[in-house]
Amino acid sequence: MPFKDASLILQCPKCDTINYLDPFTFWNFKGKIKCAGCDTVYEYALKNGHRQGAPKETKGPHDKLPGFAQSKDWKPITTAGKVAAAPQAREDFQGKPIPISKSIRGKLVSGKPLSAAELVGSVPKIFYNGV
Amino acid sequence: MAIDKSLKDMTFEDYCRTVFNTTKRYDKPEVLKGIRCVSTTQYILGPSCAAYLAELGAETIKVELPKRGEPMRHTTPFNEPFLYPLSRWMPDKGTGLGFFGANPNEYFLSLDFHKPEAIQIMKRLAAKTDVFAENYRAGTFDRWGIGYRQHAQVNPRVIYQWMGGFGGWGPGRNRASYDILGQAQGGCFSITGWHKEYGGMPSKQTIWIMDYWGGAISAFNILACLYWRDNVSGKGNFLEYSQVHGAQRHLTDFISLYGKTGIVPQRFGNFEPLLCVHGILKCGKSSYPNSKNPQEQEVGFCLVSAYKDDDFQKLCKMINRPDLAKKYPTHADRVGADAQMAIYPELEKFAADKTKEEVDKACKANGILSQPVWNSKEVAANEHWHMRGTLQWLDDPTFGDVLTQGPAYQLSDTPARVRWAFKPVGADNEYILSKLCGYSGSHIAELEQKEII
Repeated sequence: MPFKDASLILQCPKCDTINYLDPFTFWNFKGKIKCAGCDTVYEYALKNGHRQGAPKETKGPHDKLPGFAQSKDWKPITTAGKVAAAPQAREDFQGKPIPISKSIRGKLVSGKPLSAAELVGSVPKIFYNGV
Repeated sequence: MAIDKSLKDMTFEDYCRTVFNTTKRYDKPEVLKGIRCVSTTQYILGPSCAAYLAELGAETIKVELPKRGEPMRHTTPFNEPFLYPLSRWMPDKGTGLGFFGANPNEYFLSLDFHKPEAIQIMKRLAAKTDVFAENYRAGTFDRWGIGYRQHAQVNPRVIYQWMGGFGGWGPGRNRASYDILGQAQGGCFSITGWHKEYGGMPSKQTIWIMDYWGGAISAFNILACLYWRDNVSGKGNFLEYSQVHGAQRHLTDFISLYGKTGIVPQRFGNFEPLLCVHGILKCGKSSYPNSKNPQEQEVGFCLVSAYKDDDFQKLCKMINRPDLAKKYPTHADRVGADAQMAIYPELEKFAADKTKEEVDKACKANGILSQPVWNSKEVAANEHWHMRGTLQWLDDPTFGDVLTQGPAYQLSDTPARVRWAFKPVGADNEYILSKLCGYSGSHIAELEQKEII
């Protein structure tokens, strides 16, 4: 079996664009993918990262976009709408910090949110000034 | 180090105390001084590799996305505090403590690889770099024109370490990896966890042991290549490290056992399949029953090792069960699964009304090897660790008073050291870009304005 048939790749039969399918989205997938090169929509299925058959051209809206893609001459395709944005952890959540200004042994530590005015370059003013 | 008379006449302990004196650590030369490493790594596997080189004195430049930095900066255990600022552009955001330990001593440069100018800067850096470390998905940097093949054209002496989950070729290569995925596929979890009598669940290691182990392996591969480049060939090297293969390298006798007999090794919890008694006992009482901190109120655990026949006899006498010593007199009698399932519960009955310290004291009084299972507080409070510099309170130039690990090894003449825990994203943009790329202040300001750095 050619490598491209055994991995998370959809090489477009029409334009030869290589559509890389990110494992997060496509490890187990059955649905429609739009080629990032020529916009042709294909029916495609993968199980445990292995494709279940050749892509079949179809019509209608696609379900998912490839994670990234490259043209036949090795040029990356990164245009929004052609490839999907990278899967993200929740950007709106960065934990719930407990503000502190002293370490467990009672010395100064920069453990609370600062304002721009509290900085000298990238260093908190309290340390820069030695206070 | 020349051995003078005062050192020659010392006891070995005093000799070690003198030549490894951790208070003199910062006065001595660094063994990798003069080696430059560019690290475009994230999470733990790649950063720990670069950090090990930085601890030994390599000028290590970590490259991250502008402003937000790499994902590990935003990863932190539950409600633990952050250290501020994340970057000069985001003073109200902090770096999570998950970033600790894998990024000391590094210089921090920010670059947005989506911009062509950033790729040009990377090529300029590659021309002046000994080591390049990255752990993006396999082939990504090659596609972007900043992989080994491209770097080697401008700098044939570059040593390029790629680290990833499943290797650069083969059907699994497209999968991204984490420590936990590597351990699961590498076979480690299948043998770590509870015996079927105790529920049978596999158990993960809470620390990212396969990331830190992979980082260490990668660092020593780099050192080997530096030797080969500087003493043998004059040429660089392209290195690949796969986390899955690193995990399965740990399986040692379990793989041999399968190869010989077809037996698939199973989980054995706190027992040891090769030795008995050689495990961890649950003790019935907490060492801190009146603590306000619920984490300290948990019951204790104590490691006990008495697998030799006479030690086992002493252990049975200690718990007032000489009948067990008679029933299981030899190693062969004790090591079977059924015997272990009979012996350990009896030991835990003995420990049921004791703290871990009380069990430890009883064992030591009877000449049996034991050790209370220490928690982070107990480790952090241990004078021995601090004296040897493997734990240290660090007056960090950016973040202030932080407790951190130092190197776990000692070098008498060229000791490793922690100079700073880490820095905000892009903290060294001006320093690196002016020194290595020859950019002016106004050029750097323009790059910042265009959000290239």
